[in-house]
Amino acid sequence: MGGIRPSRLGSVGAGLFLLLLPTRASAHRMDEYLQAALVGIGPDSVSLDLALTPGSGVAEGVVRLLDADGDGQLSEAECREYAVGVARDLEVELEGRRLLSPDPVFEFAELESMRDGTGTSRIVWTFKPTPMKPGVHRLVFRNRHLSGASVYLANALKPESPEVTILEQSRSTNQSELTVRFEVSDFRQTSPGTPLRRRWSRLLLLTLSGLALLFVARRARFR
Amino acid sequence: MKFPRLFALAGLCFAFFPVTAASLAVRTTAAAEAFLGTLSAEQKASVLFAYNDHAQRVLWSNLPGPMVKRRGIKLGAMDEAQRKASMGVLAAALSESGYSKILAIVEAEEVLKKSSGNPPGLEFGRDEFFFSFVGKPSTNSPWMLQFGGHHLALNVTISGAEGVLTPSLTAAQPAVYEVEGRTVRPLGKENDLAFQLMGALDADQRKSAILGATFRDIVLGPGRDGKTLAPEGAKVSTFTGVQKELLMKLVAEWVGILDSGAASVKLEEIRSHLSETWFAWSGPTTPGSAAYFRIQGPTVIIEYAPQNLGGVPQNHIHTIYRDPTNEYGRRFGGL
Repeated sequence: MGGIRPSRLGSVGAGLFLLLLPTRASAHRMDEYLQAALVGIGPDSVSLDLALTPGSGVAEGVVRLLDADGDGQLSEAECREYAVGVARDLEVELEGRRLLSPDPVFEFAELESMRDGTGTSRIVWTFKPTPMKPGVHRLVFRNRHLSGASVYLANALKPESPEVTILEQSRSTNQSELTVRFEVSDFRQTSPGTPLRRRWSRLLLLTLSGLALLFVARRARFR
Repeated sequence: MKFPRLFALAGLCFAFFPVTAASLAVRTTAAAEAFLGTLSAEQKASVLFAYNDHAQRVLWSNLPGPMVKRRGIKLGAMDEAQRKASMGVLAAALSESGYSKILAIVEAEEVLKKSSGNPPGLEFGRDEFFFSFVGKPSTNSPWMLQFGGHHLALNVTISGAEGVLTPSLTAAQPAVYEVEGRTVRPLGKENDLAFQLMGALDADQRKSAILGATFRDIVLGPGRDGKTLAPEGAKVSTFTGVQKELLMKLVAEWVGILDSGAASVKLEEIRSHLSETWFAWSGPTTPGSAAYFRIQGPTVIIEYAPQNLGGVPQNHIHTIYRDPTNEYGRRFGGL
């Protein structure tokens, strides 16, 4: 099965644009492609979780792009090709330098549910930039995937690591671009691991040292 | 069942199933058992799910059927006695104002059906709301009551005197309607209190609260369980006492849907974290306009998003209420 080559993407893209043009107002997001991004930031990694929900009025174009061989079934290779195609429309920059797209992890909705407008597919990328130094950093996420008919949401997640603090999020009006200023604390310079783990390590080291001293002292006493 | 009858039923339910001092679990379990007693064996089997049935627990949405194929028993498949008994379960689990709000959302669906019919592939109307129990109703072990359909997902987990309403989705289209000369706004208080709070903030607080982007929908809707956003907006720690009380009144519009005893406990918990709570806004600040807002603290996330889909955004609202520390009553154990 062929992948989505640039030339093919171009021709499909033109057809898709027509299919994705809003056709009518509706009670639900039928004529729009909702793309909701959640950005997770850790001291050594950046994750991007993209939920893609084409409305029923635009789903056929997405299905055509996804089901490249048109057999009505989604193969893993087709899903991967689509995810790779989406990645070409995204940019993740750290300190102004674009991060290379890692292999995506994906879960695609059934074609039928996409056509209904209820199918949400998810693609997750976990970037592994050079470990970040303590201090303030700037991450920019841009999404240009099928911009003609898409509604974007872009939000940073609350960091799981206590070493990272989100300072500020700013977005373009339509949320196709998100800039996150965040701070990495200097815990990592002193020793690896989480602060709690480091505290326990120090306590364990102190206890073992104390026991060793006690042992040596007792041996010296009974010698 | 016409609108006035439905609302009359609200009063009747509170008359038939008076809210007593008994614990939430005792009251709701009794009402649930009474409801189950009205069902045939086949219907009963369709309503009851195992407490560890994760697929059923997370099967909720703002979308109408059959776009989302809900499980359980729908109001349209019940006879009059069964409907009354099912409403009794809601009346036992919810506060009086919460119960009225839910009925107003259900009624909005009937208005939508009458005004637009059933578009191809969609089913609107009050008959399309489903009941289910995840776990056997019990006074001493946790179980969950689900009631939902288009624009509504109530997930009430009950354990003894404690109750948890998260995650739950309330929404409305139309958000304003009239029946026999009476104007109904299912989510009107949420809207009005939010604008009142925004109006009560000073210029600096307002500037902090406003996010420079358009939010076309809620961020933590269906399928986003377990996610916590980085908080944004104005810090509630900078609010005056009056501003904090307005915020709490706004929060109570979601928390207070649940039985008043359980809601009071939850409200106190949220109040205890006000210094770590944030209030964010997107859109115009003039009352009557369409604006998104978010309230986020350690144990609460609320989002309110008008839907700009070609109609009047203020007339189509989606909201979500979550607790990142206690979704589906995780603190009760058994999950």
